[in-house]
Amino acid sequence: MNSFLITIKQKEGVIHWWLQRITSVLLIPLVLWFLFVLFNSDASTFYALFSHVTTSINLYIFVIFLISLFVHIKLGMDCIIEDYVHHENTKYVSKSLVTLVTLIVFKFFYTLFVL
Amino acid sequence: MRFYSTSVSQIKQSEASPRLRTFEIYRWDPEKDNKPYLKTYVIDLNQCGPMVLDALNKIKNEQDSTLTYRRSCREGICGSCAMTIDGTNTLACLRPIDTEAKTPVKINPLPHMYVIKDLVPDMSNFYAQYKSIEPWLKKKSALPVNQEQLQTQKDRALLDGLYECILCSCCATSCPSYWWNSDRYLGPAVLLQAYRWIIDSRDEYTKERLSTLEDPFKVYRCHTIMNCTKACPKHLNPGKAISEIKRRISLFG
Repeated sequence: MNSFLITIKQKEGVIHWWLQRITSVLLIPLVLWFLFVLFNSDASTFYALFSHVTTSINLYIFVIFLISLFVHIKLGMDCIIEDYVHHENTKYVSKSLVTLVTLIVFKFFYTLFVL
Repeated sequence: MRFYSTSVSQIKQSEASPRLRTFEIYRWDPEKDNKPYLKTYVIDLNQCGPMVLDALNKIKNEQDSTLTYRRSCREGICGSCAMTIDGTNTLACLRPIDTEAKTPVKINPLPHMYVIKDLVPDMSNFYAQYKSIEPWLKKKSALPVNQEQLQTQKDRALLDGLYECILCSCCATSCPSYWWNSDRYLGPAVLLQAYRWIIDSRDEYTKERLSTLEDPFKVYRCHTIMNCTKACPKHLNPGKAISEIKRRISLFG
């Protein structure tokens, strides 16, 4: 387990790089699909739109969309913090807060749309 | 002193009215000045060679001998005279003086480097980063006896565009990522050289070289801004070399 954690820490750069690209590639069709769903509904109120989205879409694809979106957001914010924040403790706290916020927002949307 | 042949047209030109050009040069002496300042010099282009380095030499010889800058070969091969001329990092000996423009030529030291004096930056961090990539051939197998280490022409062609780097640091000092992270990001110049050793077919430590570059700072601060390729006075492509490194860093093993 320890050597696994060490490897992860060593390869942090590569893992970030690959995850950013995988989520970007996944998000191109997924965002287009989601926008298509949103704009194709005949809903006039938010509630009608919400019930249209939750009932008519494939929820598995929607979960993949949510996960890729928030992983992508987290990685992007992490990159910016790493570039511009040089104080170690401030950087660690900022990154943790970003992770926390993306998890909270993901959980919110998951419970709202999927469950 | 006459550098040109004494044809009639040349004599006529030297008697012609002087073509004046203004230079605004960054000056700072740590022992005298509190703050850096821009000093203006005017020179006659008819009495000066074509390159910015010729202008600097003329100013140092005739007007202000305290002007301090690095220079050596005057032919673009040593990399000493790297500085920011009119906003672009180049070698002063390879940049012609713009005769058409009316505004002063602005000469500054390379950006985001500690300045020792006037146009001389402190290159010690840059050299230390170059040393850290171990820029020499490393072998695991025994060296061939009484024979050179052979390499096919195809393998030798892979080094073209990489070995010509003169370590002037024009590219690294033009990279915003290097400005903000010069302590941990290696910068395009050093990464170009790292790639030069990675794809050298004679070097047997390729895997180890790539695995030392895995952390988020040494290579991955590069966001393909591509200022480096634009700035290189030898027309090399550090941006491409960095992308080739990223391609080769493996996720597994």
